[in-house]
Amino acid sequence: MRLASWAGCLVGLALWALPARSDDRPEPLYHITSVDMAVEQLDSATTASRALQVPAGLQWHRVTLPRTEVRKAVLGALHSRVRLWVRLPADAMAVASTSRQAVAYSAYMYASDHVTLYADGLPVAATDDTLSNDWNLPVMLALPLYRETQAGAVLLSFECHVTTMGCGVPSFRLGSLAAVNSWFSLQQFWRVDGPRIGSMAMLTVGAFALLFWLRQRSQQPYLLFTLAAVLWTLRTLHYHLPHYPRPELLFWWVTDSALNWLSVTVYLFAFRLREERRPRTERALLWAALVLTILNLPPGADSYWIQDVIVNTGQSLISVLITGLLTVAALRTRAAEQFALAAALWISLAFGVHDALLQTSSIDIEQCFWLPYGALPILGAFIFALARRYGEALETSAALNASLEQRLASRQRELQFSYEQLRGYERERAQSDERQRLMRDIHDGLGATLISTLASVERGSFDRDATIAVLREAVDDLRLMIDSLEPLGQDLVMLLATLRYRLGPRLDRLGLEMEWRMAELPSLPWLDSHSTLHILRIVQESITNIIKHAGARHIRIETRVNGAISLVIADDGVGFDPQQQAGGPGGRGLANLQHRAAQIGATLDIASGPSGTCVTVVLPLTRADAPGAGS
Amino acid sequence: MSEGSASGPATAPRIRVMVVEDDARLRDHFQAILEASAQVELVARVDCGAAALRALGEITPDVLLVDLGLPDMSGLNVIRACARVHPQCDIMVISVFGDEHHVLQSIEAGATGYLLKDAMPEDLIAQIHSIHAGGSPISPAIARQLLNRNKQAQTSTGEVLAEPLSEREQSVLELVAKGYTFVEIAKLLQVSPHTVMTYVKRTYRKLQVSSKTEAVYEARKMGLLRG
Repeated sequence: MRLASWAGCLVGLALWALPARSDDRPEPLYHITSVDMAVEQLDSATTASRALQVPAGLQWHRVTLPRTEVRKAVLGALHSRVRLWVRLPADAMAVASTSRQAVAYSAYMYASDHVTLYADGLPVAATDDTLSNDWNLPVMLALPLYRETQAGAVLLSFECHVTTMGCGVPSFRLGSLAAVNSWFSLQQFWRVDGPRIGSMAMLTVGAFALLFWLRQRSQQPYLLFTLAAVLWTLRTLHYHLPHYPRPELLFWWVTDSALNWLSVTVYLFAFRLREERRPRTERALLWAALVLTILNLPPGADSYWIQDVIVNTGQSLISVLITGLLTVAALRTRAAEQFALAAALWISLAFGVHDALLQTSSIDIEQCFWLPYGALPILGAFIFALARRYGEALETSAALNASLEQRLASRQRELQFSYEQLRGYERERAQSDERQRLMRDIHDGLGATLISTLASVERGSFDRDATIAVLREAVDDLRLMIDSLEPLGQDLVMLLATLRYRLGPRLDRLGLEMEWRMAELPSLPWLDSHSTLHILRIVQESITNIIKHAGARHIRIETRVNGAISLVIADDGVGFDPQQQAGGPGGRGLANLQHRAAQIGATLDIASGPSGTCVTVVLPLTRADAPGAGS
Repeated sequence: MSEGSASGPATAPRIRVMVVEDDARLRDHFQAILEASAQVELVARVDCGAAALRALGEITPDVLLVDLGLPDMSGLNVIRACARVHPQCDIMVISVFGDEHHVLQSIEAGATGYLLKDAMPEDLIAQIHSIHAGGSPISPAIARQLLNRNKQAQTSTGEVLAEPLSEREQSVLELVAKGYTFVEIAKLLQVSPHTVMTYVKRTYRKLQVSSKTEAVYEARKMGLLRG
């Protein structure tokens, strides 16, 4: 692919270069630097812009071109009008050509207008006097195809306002229309099109910068660049604008003042880019620019002193000062963009000096103006500075992202750690609560039993069977506690099944028939080990009561679900009177049962009669308080 | 009961029992109970695993009572050795509270039942008879464990059974977990109590096969199905 594109480029280049070679030989273009010149004084009565015929009695003398006619020497009184006549040499004109001939020149024609071409004593061509920038425009005037004699005299007339700087007369190019045209086009490009393109480029980049600034209001340098681009365009308008806007004085005021503000803007840009401020210097510069701008207003602009001396000098001083300040800043900070900006300003300054010399006719008037091209280094410096800034911003953002990620990660770790700690504390708390409950349960059940047995054995009231029974009860209670600690998953059925499994053989031996009706019970969320133990003890004690007192043959243990869980322990024994029992020795047992039921939020109902007893424990499906919150 | 003979207990051969228990008090307790009964004969009592393995090499008991917590090794080793050397011997694990984890481990290793340490003397003799006759004691908690393992097998996580339980086996285990006795379960499922016991046995076997015991052990289990 790349090979193909390279080949394509080469072919294109060849094709482009080819037509140039197809010419047999270039057409000749004569550079006329030696002419006869005459000066014609015009009095104020002459109102016509150009002579309708070549006047007689002109004093010709040979001169070398280009030249500047200095006022005192040649021209006359200040602010008077003269007409310069130039006669092109006959030998040059004698060169025969079958095609049309043309004459062209390109120079800084600050004082001349109404340029007219004469052939055979009559005007044949003239410049367009309506153009505002004619002082900068190259001029091409074509001779008529038919002339009496090819070698006839060809004259040009220039009308001049006599100023302190005198009047400029350029050298001429003579040849066929085609040859002169190509030379003329080149001059046109350098003098008009080039500056125009430069301004367009500045404005385009300025527009982008403005759009960027509109999104990021905090980034001042971008706005300053847009301002600089606009000011630059205003400053160089007069080079390429064919018709200056009215009122023209205002236009010149804007164009002139633009330079000041441009310098100040560049200064601000350079420092704001580095986010530095020099409030005093900035204020001073702004005030100076303002003062100069006001002084430059049309009334002042007319005065030589104000315009040329104060304003121009002031502007130059500001430019030089700013360039100097930025150079110093660049040397101090050693930042690449500062160096670039300072270099661009020096180049612009040099271009400005060149143009100043050109304007005072100190150098060849046929030189192009360079100042419009001073935009390019500055544009380059701007773009370089902003591109670097952008690159730095990207890097900063990436670094920031990385550090942010790091901080996030470390923060997450911290959070994780403190969460773990919290969980650890909660676990410990739960464990400690559980332990305390366990201790209480052990104390209440096993502890009490063993201590009382120990006491009775020590006392000597040692009844072997009774002691065995008590110890067996203690082992049973220990079993209950172990059961209650097992993780049963809130399964009441499992609890009761295990209890029955353990007590089953004993009941069989006593000849008690067990009827077992276990329904599917929903899991109870409040069933912790503490509540489990209480339920088991209630059932165990009920069964013990039946064994000891009821003299029953048949026990029924049943569970029912209807809104709550009903656990029924019924026997067909002798029964008892709950009221009576309450005061007697068995009363404590019953009170105990009630107490246990209350502890777990259940209700205990005892119905007893001569045909049997029925203990009903109603367990709620949910409890308002959290499991184990109560004692 | 024992093979062939239908005569009373007095003329039936005494069940040969070996006890492996490191707690001296408990050992004496067992000894006293066993010697007091005419139906059983205490053929050996040892207090550590090494002695147990040696004894198993010399004598052949009908029922082995072994405590899991031995001083020199885990009781499971003794169980496995006995199952290997004496496949027809019934092994009962002596457990303090019958916690399911140890009981199931023992069954996996080859035990047929378990005994609670504080069992009353009458219970001990009855259980020895029962296990010698081919019964398999099962508690509601153990039934629950087996049901959980079966569920896990279906979701294929954790310990699994060799093959899943059949519907009948599941029904039996669920009723056991609810607290019903074998007799009640037989009535509820309309089968004989013996059939119920068979289901439990099969379940235990599935548990044993899932652990890495030899195929010969399976054969021994089948041999236990009497009548």
